[in-house]
Amino acid sequence: MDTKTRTTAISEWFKKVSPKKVLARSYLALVLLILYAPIFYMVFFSFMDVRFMGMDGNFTFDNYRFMFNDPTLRRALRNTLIITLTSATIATILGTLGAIGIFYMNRNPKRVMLFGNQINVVNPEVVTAMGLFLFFTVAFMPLGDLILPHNFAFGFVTIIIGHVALCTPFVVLNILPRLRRINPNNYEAALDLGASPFHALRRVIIPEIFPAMLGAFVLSITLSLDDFLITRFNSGVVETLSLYIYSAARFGNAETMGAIRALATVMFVGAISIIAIGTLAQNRLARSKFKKT
Amino acid sequence: MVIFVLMPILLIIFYAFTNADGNFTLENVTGLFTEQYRRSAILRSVGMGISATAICLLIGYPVAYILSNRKYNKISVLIILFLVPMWVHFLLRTIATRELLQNFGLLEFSYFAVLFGLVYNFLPFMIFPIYSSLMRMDYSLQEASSDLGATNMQTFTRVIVPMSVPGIMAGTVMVLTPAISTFVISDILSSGRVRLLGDLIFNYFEGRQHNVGAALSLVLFMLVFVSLLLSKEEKTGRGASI
Repeated sequence: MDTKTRTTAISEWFKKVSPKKVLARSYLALVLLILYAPIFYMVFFSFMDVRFMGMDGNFTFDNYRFMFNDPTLRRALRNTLIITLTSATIATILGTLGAIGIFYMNRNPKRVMLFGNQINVVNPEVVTAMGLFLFFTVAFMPLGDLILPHNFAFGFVTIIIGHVALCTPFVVLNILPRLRRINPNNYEAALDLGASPFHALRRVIIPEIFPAMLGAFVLSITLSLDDFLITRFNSGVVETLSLYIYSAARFGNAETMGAIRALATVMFVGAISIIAIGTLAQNRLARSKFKKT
Repeated sequence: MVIFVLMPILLIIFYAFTNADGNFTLENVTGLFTEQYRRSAILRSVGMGISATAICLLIGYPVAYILSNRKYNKISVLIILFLVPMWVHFLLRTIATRELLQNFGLLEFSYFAVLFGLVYNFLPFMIFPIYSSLMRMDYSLQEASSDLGATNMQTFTRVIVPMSVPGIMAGTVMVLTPAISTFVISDILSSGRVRLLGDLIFNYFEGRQHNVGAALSLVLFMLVFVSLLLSKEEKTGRGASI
C-alpha cells in the first residue's frame, strides 16, 4: 500500500468515526480498565511466589497447589458449598411461594407485605446480621434447649437461616414481575377443567415462572457466596470461604495470600466461562427458534 | 416472614434501649450524640456514603447512557462486561484494590482509599438501574424532541434525564445503603484508620457490648428507612402530578 491510499484510508476512517464516538468508546474502555485492573493484577500475581502483589518474584504454580491442598481452605470451601446450595434452594422455594401468596392477596395486605419485603431488601447487612444474632440468642437458643437434649449453638443452622432471610426477599422481587405477565385465564381454565388448585399451580403457574425461579436461584447463590457479615455474626465455629478470605486479608501469611489470589483467578475464570456458555446457549436457542418460524 | 423481618428489628430496638442487665436506659441512644467517637463515626459514614454515591452517579450515568445509546454502542453484550467483576468475591476484589493502591503509593491517603474502594465496589449497582431505565425509554421521544426544534443538549436535559429519574433513584438507594453501612471495605483499605458505622457495630459486637451495637444498628436502620420513604414519596408525588 503506498502512502497516498493509506492517507485516504485513514481520512475515510476518520469521516466514519466521529470524535464524539471515539470519546464515548474511550470513556467506556477507561471505566472497564479500572474495573478490571485489580482483577487482572490478581490473576497475574497468582503465578508469582510473593507474599504481597507488586513484589519481585518468580513464576510458580505453588499458589494453586497450596489452594488445592490446604485442609482449612478445603473445609471452608465444602462448608460454603453446603450452606450456599441449601440456603439458595430453600430461599427460592420460600420466595416463590411467598410471591404467589402476595400476588393473590388483597390490596392492603399486599402493600404491607411488599413494604416489609422492601425493608429487608434495602436493610444494611450489618443490621440484618445484628438483628438475627439477637434473635437467635433471645428466642432460638432457649427454645432449642427445651426441645433438644444437647445445647443448641451457632453453626450451620443459624448461618443457613440467616442466608435464607437475606435471599428470600430478592427471590420475591424476581418472581413478582413474571407473575404479573401471566394470563390469569390460564389458571382459571385449569380450575374449570377440573384441576385441583395445587395441581393447577404445579402444571400451569410453575412452568411459566420457571425461568424467573432459575434467575432467583442464581442470584441467591451469588448473595450467599458474597455474604460476610451475616456469616460472621452467626457462624459460631463453622469456617466458610468468606471468613477464610477475611482472616487471610488481616493476618495472612505468604501461603494463604497466594492461595487467595489463585482462588480469585479460579472464580474469575469460572464466572467468565459460565457467562460465555450462557450467552452462546442463548444465541443458539434464538437461532434455532428463528429457523423454525 | 413476619418472624424473620419484624422480630430482629424489634429486638434491635429493645436492646438499644436497655443496658446489659436488661433494664431500661437511654444511655446507648444519647451516647450516640454525646460521645465524640461515635458521633464522628456516624457523620463520617454519612459523608462517605453520600460522596461515594455522587461519584458513582457522575461516573456511572455516562456509562449507562453510552451503553444504552444505539449511536455509540452496537454490541449489546457489552453491558455484561460490567457485570463480570461482580462475580468475584467482593473481599477478594477489595484485597486486590488494596495491593494495587499500595503499589501506586495511594494507600497512605486512607480517606481516598476507602472512597475508591466504595466507588469501585458499588459502581455496577448505579450503572444497571440507570441502564435499564434508559433502555425502556421510547426512542421516538428523542426524535420527537429534536423534530420540535430542541438541540441535542436540550433533549438530553429536558427529556432523557427526567425519564431516567426512577433509575437514578434506584441506583442511589442501591449504592447509598451499602456505602453507609460498609464494614469490611473501610476496614481493609484503611487498616482500621477510617472508622465508619459498620466498623463500630462490628467492634461492639466483638467486644460483646450488644446494646451499644444495637443502638448503632438502629441509627443505620433509621437512615435507610428515611431514604426508602423519601424514594417512595418521590414516586407518589410524580404519580399525582401526572
